[in-house]
Amino acid sequence: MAAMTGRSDVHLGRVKRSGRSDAPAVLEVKELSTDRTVSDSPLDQVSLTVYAGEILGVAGVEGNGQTALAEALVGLTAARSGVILLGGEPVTDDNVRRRRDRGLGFVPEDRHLQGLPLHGSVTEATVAGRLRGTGRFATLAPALSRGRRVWAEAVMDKYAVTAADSSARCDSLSGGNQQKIVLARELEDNPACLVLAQPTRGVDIGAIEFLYGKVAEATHRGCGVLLVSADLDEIFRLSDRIVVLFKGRVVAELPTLTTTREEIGRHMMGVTA
Amino acid sequence: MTTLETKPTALPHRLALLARPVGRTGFAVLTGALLAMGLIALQGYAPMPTMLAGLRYALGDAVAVSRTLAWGLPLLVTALGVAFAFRAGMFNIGAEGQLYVGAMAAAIVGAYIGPLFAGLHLLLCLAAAALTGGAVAAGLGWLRAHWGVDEVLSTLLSNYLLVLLCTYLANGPLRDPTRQSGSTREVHDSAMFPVIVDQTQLTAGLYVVAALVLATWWLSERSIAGYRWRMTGSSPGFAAAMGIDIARARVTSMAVSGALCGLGGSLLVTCSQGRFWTEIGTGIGWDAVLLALVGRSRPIGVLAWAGVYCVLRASARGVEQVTGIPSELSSVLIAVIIVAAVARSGAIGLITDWARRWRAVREKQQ
Amino acid sequence: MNAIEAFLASGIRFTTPILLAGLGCLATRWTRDLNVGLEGVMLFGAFFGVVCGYRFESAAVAIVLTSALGAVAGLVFGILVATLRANAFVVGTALNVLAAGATVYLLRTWFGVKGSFGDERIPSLPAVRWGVIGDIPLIGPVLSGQSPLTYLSWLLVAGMAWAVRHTVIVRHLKAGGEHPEALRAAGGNVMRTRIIAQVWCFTLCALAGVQLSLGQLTLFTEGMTSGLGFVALAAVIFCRGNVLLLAVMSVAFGFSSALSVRLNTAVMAPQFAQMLPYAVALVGLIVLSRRSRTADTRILTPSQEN
Repeated sequence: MAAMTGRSDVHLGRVKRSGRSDAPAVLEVKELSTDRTVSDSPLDQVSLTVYAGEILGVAGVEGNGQTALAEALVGLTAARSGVILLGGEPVTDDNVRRRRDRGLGFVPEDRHLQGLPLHGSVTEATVAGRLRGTGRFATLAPALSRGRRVWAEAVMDKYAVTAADSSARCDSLSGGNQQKIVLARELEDNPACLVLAQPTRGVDIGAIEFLYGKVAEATHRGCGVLLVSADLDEIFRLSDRIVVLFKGRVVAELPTLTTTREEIGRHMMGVTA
Repeated sequence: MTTLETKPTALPHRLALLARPVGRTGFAVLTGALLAMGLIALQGYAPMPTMLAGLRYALGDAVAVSRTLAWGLPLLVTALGVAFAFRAGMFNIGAEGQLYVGAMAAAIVGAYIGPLFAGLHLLLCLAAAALTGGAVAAGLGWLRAHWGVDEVLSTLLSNYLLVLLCTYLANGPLRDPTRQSGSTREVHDSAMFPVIVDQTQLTAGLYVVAALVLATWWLSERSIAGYRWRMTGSSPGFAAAMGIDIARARVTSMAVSGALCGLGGSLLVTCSQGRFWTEIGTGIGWDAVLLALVGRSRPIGVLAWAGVYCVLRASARGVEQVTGIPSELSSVLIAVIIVAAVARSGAIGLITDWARRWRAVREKQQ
Repeated sequence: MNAIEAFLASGIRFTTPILLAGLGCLATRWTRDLNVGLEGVMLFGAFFGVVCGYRFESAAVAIVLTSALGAVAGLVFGILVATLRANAFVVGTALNVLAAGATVYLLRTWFGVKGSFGDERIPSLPAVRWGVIGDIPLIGPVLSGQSPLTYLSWLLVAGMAWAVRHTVIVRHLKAGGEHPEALRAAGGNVMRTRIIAQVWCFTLCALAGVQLSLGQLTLFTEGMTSGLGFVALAAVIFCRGNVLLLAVMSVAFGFSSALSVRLNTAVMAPQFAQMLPYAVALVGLIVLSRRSRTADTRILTPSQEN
């Protein structure tokens, strides 16, 4: 796993750039606008594209529309205008469940509020994706069947989650272990496109490298990642291209390898002359 | 971390999980017993013999047990209904009203349709009760899910509206002309559960309740639907991000909850009373809310606490018969027991805190 | 006194218990320990008002003693909620059940009666008359001839509205609920603030109960509050912490209660008339929720975990 050794930004970038020119778009956003919310700027005519196997970083000072973008993409808030295409199909009017069925993964920025059932067990946090597609009448079947529990234990091992067992409560786990569970759940769903918001906030260093490795693995499989992060280092290490959000608008779109932190910083402050 | 390491601890772990609620309940029951002894002594009776006489009345023989059980069945179903909604984060405290409309619906179907083939008639009564109770609760749940109308207050207020509506029906259009006032016509025999223990009101409704307990437990704690309800209740943000339809979960959980409350009301009619009258279920809805709160919304916890409360209630009846101490003693006790249960961990924390400080002070002095 | 004047006067009379209980509960809303046990405290207040009135044959003694008892009960409740960290919703609900049971229990053990208790020795609250003011048409009977608790309730409205702007204690109460760390950092005692709010709430609710039992009928009936406490709770939730808005809501509920009593059975069945205050509250709740998107009206319910 090359991604785990030293400064891996250049390496990661190169790997994905090589496959990008002919890769199909997994997520296309065209002139997306949202209504005003309490906590974040509304989106204003945001357009961007994520290709299979690449990581598109979204930079910006917090409160400039990143949360609104993630929630609008996943379907937690409705779009006022604009189009969202997942794998070429419009999903703008679909709810969260249907978007996920079409291959959208989502790692929310607030894992305590949205990423995990904080008072629930690790199994309950892990199996969510596998329970989503259950049909109308199968909902009476057991949720945490033996098969799913065994599967959850296997996932825990695969992602090196340190917990007593799969019945441990999520709030008894460290931030890193919690985030591993969130990422494990999303990646085990094999998404075509992953909205990855603040993936390493409050996560210890060891776990950060592990999580980056898993994200890199996913892109090798062809998953396109939209990485929203307040951490510029993270964006520079992972992404192939960077878009900058300022007051809900995309003010710049730049390839990571030919840009500098200063340039991104200027765009983040709204100096886009 | 391997499975080998975790296996030996599995059993003690489970036991420890069980020990906590048992200890909690034990503490609360002990508090209640002490208070009961105090109150009985205050009235000038010997506490222990009086309490034993009460217990004998509640659990002394098969007839006593059946009587206690018969009284508790509607309450248990209603409490399960309240707990069901609590688990999904919907504080349905409109159990009283839903119970009343359920009882009224069962009484109407029982009296104005039929007589029919017994099983079918009963089924119709129960279905009508479940539908009306469920519809009322689902409506309030819909208001919460789509318009943000706080369900605590709306269900609370709906109690008074629904009870008054039923009172109106029982005094007005549906009044039994042969009786003084406030009760509807007697239901047909085919709408009554057959008695299974003589001299008591314990009927075949017991089997229905047992099935309902199992079904509720499975639905709420084990099934995929229950997973969605529970996640909506404990972590709505997580549920929404996972693609669970929160609004739908809220409405459906209220519908099931209201249906159970309505069924509780129908049992009052079809198991014992045989008709609707205006005081048929006074207070049961509130008792059910208390049981759901103290049972922490878990079906098993509610079942255990409903058992405790039934014995308490029947014992209070027994005490009233031998001493003249009012049987409302049981309401006083259950309220105090519940307060003791919720204040316990805080009290223990406070006491250990004091003990630590006191030790620190003593160490300083030495 | 013509029919309209009588209606207005009784509207104010019905407003009094709702307003008193609401003003008390408002303080607990500020500290975020919303007391849902208003109904129970009012019932206890009504009961002990009658008991004290019967024993001492004086309305003044009944008022003083009952409010003192209320304050003590509030202290206990406050300690349970603030110091022992028991959930206010659970304890409040238990309190309602306790009141319904305990008043009947005591009624039977002390007086040996069931249902209701009335006696000639029980004093009623005197009507305070203000000379010529009572002769003014329409508003005269509203302003004059009410019980002293009615005047007290309106004095409290003015006093609390003033206190919100000018006193430290209200700021402390609000800080105790919204920013307890800030209050602690500023040297305030959060625990004590929360307990004070409950004491205030219980005292006023006890007075509301006295108004119910001694202000109108001079007797106690089982469950005589019949949901008035919950109506007051609704008023508190609607008012969003604003004293004057609370007064307006209470008047609205009070007048719908008065209307429900006065409506002729020819107009509608008595049960439908009795629904009025609850229906008004429910419709008000729905309208309010439609108009605001914030979760301002949410009652803090306990978490069902662990």
